[in-house]
Amino acid sequence: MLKFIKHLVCFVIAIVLQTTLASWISFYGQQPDFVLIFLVVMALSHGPVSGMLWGFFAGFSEDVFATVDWLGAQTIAFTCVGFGVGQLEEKFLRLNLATKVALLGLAFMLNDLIYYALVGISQESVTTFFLIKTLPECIYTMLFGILCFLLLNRLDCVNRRNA
Amino acid sequence: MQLFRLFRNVLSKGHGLVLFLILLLIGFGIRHLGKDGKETVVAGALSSVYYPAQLVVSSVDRIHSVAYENDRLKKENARLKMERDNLREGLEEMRRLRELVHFDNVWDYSIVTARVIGKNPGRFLTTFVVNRGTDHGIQKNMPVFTTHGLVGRIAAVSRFHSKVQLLPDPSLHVSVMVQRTRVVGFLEGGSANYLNATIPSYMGVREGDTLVTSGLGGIYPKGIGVGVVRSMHKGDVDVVTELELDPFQKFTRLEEVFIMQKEPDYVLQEMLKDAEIH
Repeated sequence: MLKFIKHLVCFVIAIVLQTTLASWISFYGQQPDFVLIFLVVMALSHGPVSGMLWGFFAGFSEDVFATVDWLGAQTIAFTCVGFGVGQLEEKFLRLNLATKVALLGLAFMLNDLIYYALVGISQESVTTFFLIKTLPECIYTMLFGILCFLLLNRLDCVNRRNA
Repeated sequence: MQLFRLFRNVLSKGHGLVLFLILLLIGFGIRHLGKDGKETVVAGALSSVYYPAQLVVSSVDRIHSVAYENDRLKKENARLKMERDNLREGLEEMRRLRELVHFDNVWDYSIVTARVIGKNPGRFLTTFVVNRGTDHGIQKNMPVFTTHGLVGRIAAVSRFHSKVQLLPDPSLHVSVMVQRTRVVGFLEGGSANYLNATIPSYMGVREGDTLVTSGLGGIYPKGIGVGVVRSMHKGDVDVVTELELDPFQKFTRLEEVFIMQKEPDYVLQEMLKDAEIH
C-alpha cells in the first residue's frame, strides 16, 4: 500500500510538472512529456503489469482533459507503451543509461504513432506532425529523461549504501 | 485475500498479457462510445476523481503566475494610462461615426469572467476547464475570449464548470475574415504558437494582415481578433491560399477568460452543420 501511495505521489508530481513546468519551459511550442518519463520509469522498474496499469490510468487522465472525440486514444497508447516497455523490466535485464534513454525515445515515438492512428489523422498529416511535433519533443523529453534516470540511479546508490 | 491473490495471478499470466488484453478492450470500448457516452464519462470523471487534482494543479500554477502577473500588470498599467487619453479621443470619434452609419453594436452581450482551473495534461493543447457552468448562465457554444482576442468556445458544460475548446484544436473550424479585404475563410486548428487558416486567393492576402471572426458561423460575433498572417502558401487547390497565423492569444498562458453570453444561432448552425464551421 505504501509503495502504491509513493507511486501515486510520483504520478501527481509528473502531472503537475506536465501542466505547469512543461509550458513554462516550452521552446518554440515544444514541450517535454513528463508523464511518459514517469510511465517508462515505472514500466522498467516494476514490469509490464505495473507499466500498463499506470499507462491506462495516466492515459485516461490525459484523455479526460482532451477533446471529447479523442477519448480513449491516449489511454490505449499509454497502455501499449507501458506493456511494451515493461517487457524489458530491470529485474531481469540490466540496462545502461544510453539504452534507457533510447528506449524512452522509442516509447515516445510509438506512443505518438498509436495516438495519431487512433485519432484518425491522415497519412500526410502524420508525416508533418511527426517531423514538427513528435521528433523535437522526443529529443526534448530524452534530455529530461537523462536527468531523471541519473537522479534515480543516484537515489538507488544511496538506498543501497544505507541498506 | 486468497481470492485477491488468485485474481492477481490470472491477470499477471503470460507476463501480463491477459490484463493487457482486458485493458485494451476497455480502452477500445471507451473509444467507440457514442458522443453522449463519452461526454458522460468525461463529465463524471471531471466532477469526481479529477476535481481535487484540478485544484492542486491550478493552485501550483497560480503561485508561479503571481510574480509574472504583477510585472505584467505594472507594464500594462503604464501602457493603459497612455492609451486612456487616446481612447477618449477615439470614443468621441466613434460616437460620431456610429450616428453616421447606424453601427450595429454586436458586442452588446453580458460577459462572465472565468478562471482556468484545469488544463489538458497532454502535449496537445486543445481544451481547458473553467470554473463557470450552467449555474452561472453558461451554455454550450458560447464564445470565449480575452482582451487579446478569441480563445475558443464552450464545448461541454456541467453545473459548476465548463470545458473550453481552444482554437488550436483541429476539429474546431471557425469562420474568419481578413480585416483589410473583408474576404471570408476559415480557421482550422494549429498549435500553441501558430494557427492555420484557409482563404480564397482571388482577393489577395498579405503578410501582416489581421484576421477577425466573420460572424457567419452563428457562434462568434463579428470582429473578435484572431491573429496576424505570419506566412502563406498555395493550397492543394489553386483557388485557395493556406495561411499560418501568429495568434493574438498566448494559449499556454491563459489564467482568466471572458465568456460572452451569446446564444448560438441554431438555424445558421444547422445550415453549416455539414461543413462543421462555427
